[in-house]
Amino acid sequence: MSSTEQGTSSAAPAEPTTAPESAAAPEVPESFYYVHGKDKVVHKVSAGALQHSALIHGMISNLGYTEEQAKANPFPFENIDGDILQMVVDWCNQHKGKPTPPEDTNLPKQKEKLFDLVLAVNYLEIKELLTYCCKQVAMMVKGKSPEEIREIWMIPTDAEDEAAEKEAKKRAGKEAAGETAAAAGDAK
Amino acid sequence: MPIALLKFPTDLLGDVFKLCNPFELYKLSKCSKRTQKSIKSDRTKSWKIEFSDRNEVIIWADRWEYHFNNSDNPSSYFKTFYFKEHMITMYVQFPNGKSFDMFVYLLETFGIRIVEKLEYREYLNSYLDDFSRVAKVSIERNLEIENLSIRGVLEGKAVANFMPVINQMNITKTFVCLQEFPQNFHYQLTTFPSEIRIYSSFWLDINQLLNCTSSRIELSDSMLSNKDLDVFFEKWKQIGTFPNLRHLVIRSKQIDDKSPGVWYGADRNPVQVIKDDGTVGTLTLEMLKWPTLKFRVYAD
Repeated sequence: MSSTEQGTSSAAPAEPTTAPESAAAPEVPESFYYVHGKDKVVHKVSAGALQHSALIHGMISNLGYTEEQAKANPFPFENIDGDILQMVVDWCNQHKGKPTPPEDTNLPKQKEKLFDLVLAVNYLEIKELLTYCCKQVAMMVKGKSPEEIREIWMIPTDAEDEAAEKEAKKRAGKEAAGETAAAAGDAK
Repeated sequence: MPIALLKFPTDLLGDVFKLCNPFELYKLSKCSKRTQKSIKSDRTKSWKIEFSDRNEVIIWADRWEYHFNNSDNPSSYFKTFYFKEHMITMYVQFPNGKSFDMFVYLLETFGIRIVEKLEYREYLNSYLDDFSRVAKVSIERNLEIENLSIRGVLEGKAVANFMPVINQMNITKTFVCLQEFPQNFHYQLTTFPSEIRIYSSFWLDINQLLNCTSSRIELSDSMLSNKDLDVFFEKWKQIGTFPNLRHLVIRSKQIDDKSPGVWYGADRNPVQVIKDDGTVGTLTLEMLKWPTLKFRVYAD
């Protein structure tokens, strides 16, 4: 398992760089967690950056892991491609502790990755990034004709949908018949 | 780079739809039966619809007016034009060439529950048949009609036949009737939105006025007389009556400034009428070609 350092500070609790506001409120050292995608590449991300993800925030909020425990138990997201998870982690780091501007120029630009990115962001429940990604998707068809929209959003024609439905029914029928035959065989 | 939109989970699809305007969703609905079904199943939109022309149906969304205009010219289909701020037009082919069919298509596709405006304007072009069908659909589907407007002269008899339908409509904001009716026209209006303005109101008698719950009432060409107004003001003074009324204007040749009543002197100076609960209304009388009574209520 390889590892990349995505955090903004080292794994050890960070030393405060500025004087605390008052003696009664010392600065809490930042904690880090580890996540990996389908490619098993582990990304180290601060809890502050992970707050963008409602899913991960909910998972870590009551864990109270030590640095060692966090490192030993990275969160696996096997349904997310490694490069997509990298994009998401980068975005979370860039927007750590900051509200997202209405026009976010830090969004990954690769259109070919947009579909997977949207699904990942939706799964990880990163609301602001999801809104921005959905905007990108919606913008793709601005001013386009239905024919162009059909191509851009890969929409099958009615005939194609009907053919696919027939095929699915046929397949389901075959599977059901196979199961019945297998059950009859078992009974014998 | 294409993206397989329909492979998105339903909630995500809804998120994308939310970011599309009515023109984009209409065009998407035209891509396939499946896309139309997906749009129909998303019930998060709060758009409104307007029907006021035989060649046009308008969608009101996010402070913009999206005008769908009928065209017979395929080369103009889906072309858009900005006419003024917050107003954009797109040419399309209405189903069966009928504005009624387009109204129903948009209503169903976008899951619309509110008619911003339903208007019949005889002088533009005659579309009473389509208008009547839209009214019928609005009743059948219990749509909220915010503003209903009827204006015309020539088709008075035909519109008179349509009028009974109005009481079945759920009109909430204004009912404006600039329609002229045959002299023998009788009608009992029982639905009262916030505001009614009736410009040929000879048929609206004192009983209808006494039952009216609108906050603004404007009646022209009325047959109401001083005696009727006396009855009205006697009732108005009682506690709990006409709780919404703020503004009443009646233009009637049956009104004079000679008969005794609360309006005495109102042709010279505003007269105060005081309700039993202390609420004050101000009455003025203008003895013009059409004597006009104006009554304003100042409530807390």
